[in-house]
Amino acid sequence: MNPLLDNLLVFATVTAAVGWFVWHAWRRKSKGGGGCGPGCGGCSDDPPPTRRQD
Amino acid sequence: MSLSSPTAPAPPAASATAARTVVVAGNPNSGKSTLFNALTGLRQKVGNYPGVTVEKKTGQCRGAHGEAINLIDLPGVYSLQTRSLDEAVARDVLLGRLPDTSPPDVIVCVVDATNLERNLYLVAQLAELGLPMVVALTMVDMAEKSGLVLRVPELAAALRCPVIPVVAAQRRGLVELRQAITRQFHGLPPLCAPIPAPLETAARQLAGLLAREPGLNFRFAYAEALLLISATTGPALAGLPKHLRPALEASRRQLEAAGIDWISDVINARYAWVQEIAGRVATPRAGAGAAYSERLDAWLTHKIWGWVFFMGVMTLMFFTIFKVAEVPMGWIANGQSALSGWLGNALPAGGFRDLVVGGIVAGVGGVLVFLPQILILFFFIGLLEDTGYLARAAFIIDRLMQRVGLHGKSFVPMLNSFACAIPGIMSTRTIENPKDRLVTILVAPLMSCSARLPVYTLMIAVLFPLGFSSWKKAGVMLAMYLLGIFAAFGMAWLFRQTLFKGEHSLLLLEMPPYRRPSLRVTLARMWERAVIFLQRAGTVILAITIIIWALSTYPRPADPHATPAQALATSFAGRLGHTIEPVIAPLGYDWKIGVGVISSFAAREVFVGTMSVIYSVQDGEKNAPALRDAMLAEQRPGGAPVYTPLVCLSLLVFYVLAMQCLSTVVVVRRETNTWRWPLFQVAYMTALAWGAAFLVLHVGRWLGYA
Repeated sequence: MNPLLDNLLVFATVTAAVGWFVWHAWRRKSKGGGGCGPGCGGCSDDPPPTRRQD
Repeated sequence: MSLSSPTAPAPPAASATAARTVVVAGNPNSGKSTLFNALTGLRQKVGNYPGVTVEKKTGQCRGAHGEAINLIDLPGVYSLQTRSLDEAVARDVLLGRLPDTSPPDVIVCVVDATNLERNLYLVAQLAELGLPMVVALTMVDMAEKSGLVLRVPELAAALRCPVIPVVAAQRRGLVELRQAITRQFHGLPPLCAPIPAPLETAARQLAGLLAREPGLNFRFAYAEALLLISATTGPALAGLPKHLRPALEASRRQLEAAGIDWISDVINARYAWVQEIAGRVATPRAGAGAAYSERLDAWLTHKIWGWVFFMGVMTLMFFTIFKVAEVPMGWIANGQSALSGWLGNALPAGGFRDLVVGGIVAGVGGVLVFLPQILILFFFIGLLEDTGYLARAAFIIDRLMQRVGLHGKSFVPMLNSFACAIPGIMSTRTIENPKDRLVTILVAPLMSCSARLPVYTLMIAVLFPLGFSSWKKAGVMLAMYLLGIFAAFGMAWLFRQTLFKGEHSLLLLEMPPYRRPSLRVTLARMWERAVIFLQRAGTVILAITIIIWALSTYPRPADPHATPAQALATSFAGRLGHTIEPVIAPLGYDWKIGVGVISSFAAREVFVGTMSVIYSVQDGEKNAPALRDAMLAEQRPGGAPVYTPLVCLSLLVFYVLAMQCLSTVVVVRRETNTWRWPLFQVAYMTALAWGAAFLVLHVGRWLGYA
């Protein structure tokens, strides 16, 4: 394979992986959960209920 | 937003075409979520023990005439006098206090026929809301088996609402239930329990004041008023605007003057009504003996035999995980190596081929190979849940939990944490006492989640290469799970003695009846897990594997004749590993293990993928042996093997006790509303893992082991 094309493919794949990972981490942080372990059935985006501060 | 605060409810369905809101309510473990799943086609988690649902879940279904229905599944409650956060969610939805949720048009109250009296108490309280209701009667077959004769039409007449026997798992009674729901959109509310006249008058007066409050739903003012008058705890009074407190106090004083006990008289009145109905519609058949559940319980919850059975079941489970999974794991491994070979020949030589074969296929395939084991684990967990055995396991373990100061309700979060710590931590919402809840959150990730399974299996395979029996491997696996349980208990005891001193609570655990597990439900759950695992392999693990490959490959060595091992040592990953080596060297780990440990902070099973990539890069993708063989062949500079039995054990112990899960950290932050506790948790678990791994290695060496 052309070395330039080879390097380009590697660069594009690694950049896509890093980009996806950053996006995923940001999304998880902003949504507050999800994407957990293989046993996690997922959770809602609702914040945990808190008692009223009277 | 505060769920307990009075807030403006959304307007009710404005037109006939708008979706109606139907709420599924009922006691814990009465079968609400199974019914919800059957009606909506969703796969909400269900289990044969109380406290599985800790927040409202919404789904869509159709009524008998095809009309759209928003169905809401609520956490189980025994009454509307709530004490825990999950119960508060149920109460607030029913009272229309949530701005994002329409007030219910119809309530489907799920009633467990085997516990009719207790379940009807909730029916009596829900009837006070004045909404049309349908009673879905579950577990009729079990009630009849236990010797009860049920008269369903009489129950319907006594409540003045449709009562539909359903077996949701077999989809029996669902058509009739949909028809009843549709009819009830225009139906009457059910009959209420007769309340003592002075109490009713006081409640109507308070309801009149509440109905004028802009933030409260006037439709439920009477039910709110009754709740408030008999409320004894602060959180139960959260629905009362401050300026109405004097009116409430005045009502109570008037009632006391009239000789009315405002706490218990309303409860007693409901119970008297319920007992009269239950006595009429459910009578014991002549000659009915002790239920088989009780006879089985005498053995399964026995002080000694209970433990023997528990350990036997666990050992059998892990033996099956090793023995039965061997064959499909072999297929996946063969498929992976065939794919590697084909791609290696099909792609032109170069960095991209190295990335695909040595990075993606080796890393993702290395994790995917554990899919059969994870599915078998969930098959067993599903069977044990559905049969009702897990609640018995809770009962025998509770004797230990009480001694270490863990709340009895901590069992469900701990149990959920065997699958994943995230739902485990979420389900701590059932625990009323904040101290108990926090202790449970702090120790729940010590339970061995399924993401640890690939790491355990890999290290046990290195510890016991070919030729060792599956019983031995199952024994080590069982020991790791027990280590997690006892570490959780030990840390809970320590926290209870130091950070969270206070009263210990007693366990009030309802023993669910034994049931025949549903293969359909268990297989559906396994399928769901398989999809989650594959999604994860195709996303997070794929991305991390590519990144680890890049870190292990670049920068390229200056010397073009450098061996792959030398190139790996000078790569970014190699440099990172060498930097942290002083911290992990006392545990017997080399820098490659260090890279694996760091990368697995993203997710524990990434450790396996990382080691696959590192050894694939080191050996060149064409010569890469199986990961286990590569690890067994790994040597230190002096020629000594890296993965001695003690190092394997030390690494196993490290992974049992270390936090190593970013998702859990995020969820603990969310559930505790502070960064203090998740950071404390990471710190104590890392220190505990490091210390225990150090002890295993050095005490083992001191005893003369290698």
